Amino acid sequence: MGIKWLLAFLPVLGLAVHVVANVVSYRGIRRLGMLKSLIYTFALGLVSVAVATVAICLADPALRAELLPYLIVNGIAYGALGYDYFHFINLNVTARRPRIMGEFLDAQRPLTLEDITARYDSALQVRVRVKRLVDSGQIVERDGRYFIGRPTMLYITRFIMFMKLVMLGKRSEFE
Amino acid sequence: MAVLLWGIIVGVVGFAIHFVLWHIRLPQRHLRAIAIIFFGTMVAVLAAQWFLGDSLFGGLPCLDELPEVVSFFIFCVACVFAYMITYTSFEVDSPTEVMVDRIDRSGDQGLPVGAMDDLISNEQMVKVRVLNLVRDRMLIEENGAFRMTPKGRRFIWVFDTYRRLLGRPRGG
Repeated sequence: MGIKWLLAFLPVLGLAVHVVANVVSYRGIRRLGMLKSLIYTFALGLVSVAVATVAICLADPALRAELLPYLIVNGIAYGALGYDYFHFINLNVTARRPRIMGEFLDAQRPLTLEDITARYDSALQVRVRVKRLVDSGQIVERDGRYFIGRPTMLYITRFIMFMKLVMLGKRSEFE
Repeated sequence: MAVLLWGIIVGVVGFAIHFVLWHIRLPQRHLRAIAIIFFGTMVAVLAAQWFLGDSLFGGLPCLDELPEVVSFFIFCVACVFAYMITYTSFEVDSPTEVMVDRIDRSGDQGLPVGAMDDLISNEQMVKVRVLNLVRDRMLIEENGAFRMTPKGRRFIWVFDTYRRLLGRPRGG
């Protein structure tokens, strides 16, 4: 019975490996950067989950026939948990809601819309995002104009706009 | 096999309900409604197997043991959270998405570097998000000013604590 419980909790244990390794590697090896740290430690967690799933299923004759389904279930569950963690980190790095709430935390008093706007430099935030896109090769600058570079962000953007259209019937929240 | 099968069934049935409801009438709080739909479907699947037994499902493998139920629960929770996170990008326009879309639409001509500054107004960057935070009950408006609710304090505490653990400056 105990081995089946371990099998069930493997995605969560894999996530724990990923999170701890991410915090330790990011703090310990600054030049690694957040994105590389997230990718490498996600892979470490995935390998841990896969190896443990295979070992547990092969150790118990009753579970041998279930090896492939458990590999798929634990792989998808771990992948989804890793995706959740990636977005949690991404929210901390790029999202406006935590940033705006952080301004309230620092101010320790009610803020008007003007107060918030004064503390949040939109033009700077646009420049930061443009730099991120240029540095990652998603957009390229030629003769004072921007063009699409690597198409990854473009595909993600098209998928998001397609889903907006399918689920909400509009391409933009401002339509 | 049972975990994978019933996990997929929860995903397909939950998404079908979500799709139909969204085309009848949009809920006021989308993420809350999505959580209720998917977790409600998950609980309904478990309850049907628990109370009605295996015979109802015509020979399909069922979740017989508690570890299988736990595995099913972890599988569903992980996938539903992943969908909810993805859904937040459908609800709002991210500045990066707006920029990439505009550059793509400018085609072979490209988008002048200076045009980027005018793409997203302060109102889009700040006011809409503040109103979203009020809708989600993280901020409350009183006499023309906004203050954090206990829910908002918990929200920012989680992010701020983790940010400090990583030793990063505030983003956004």
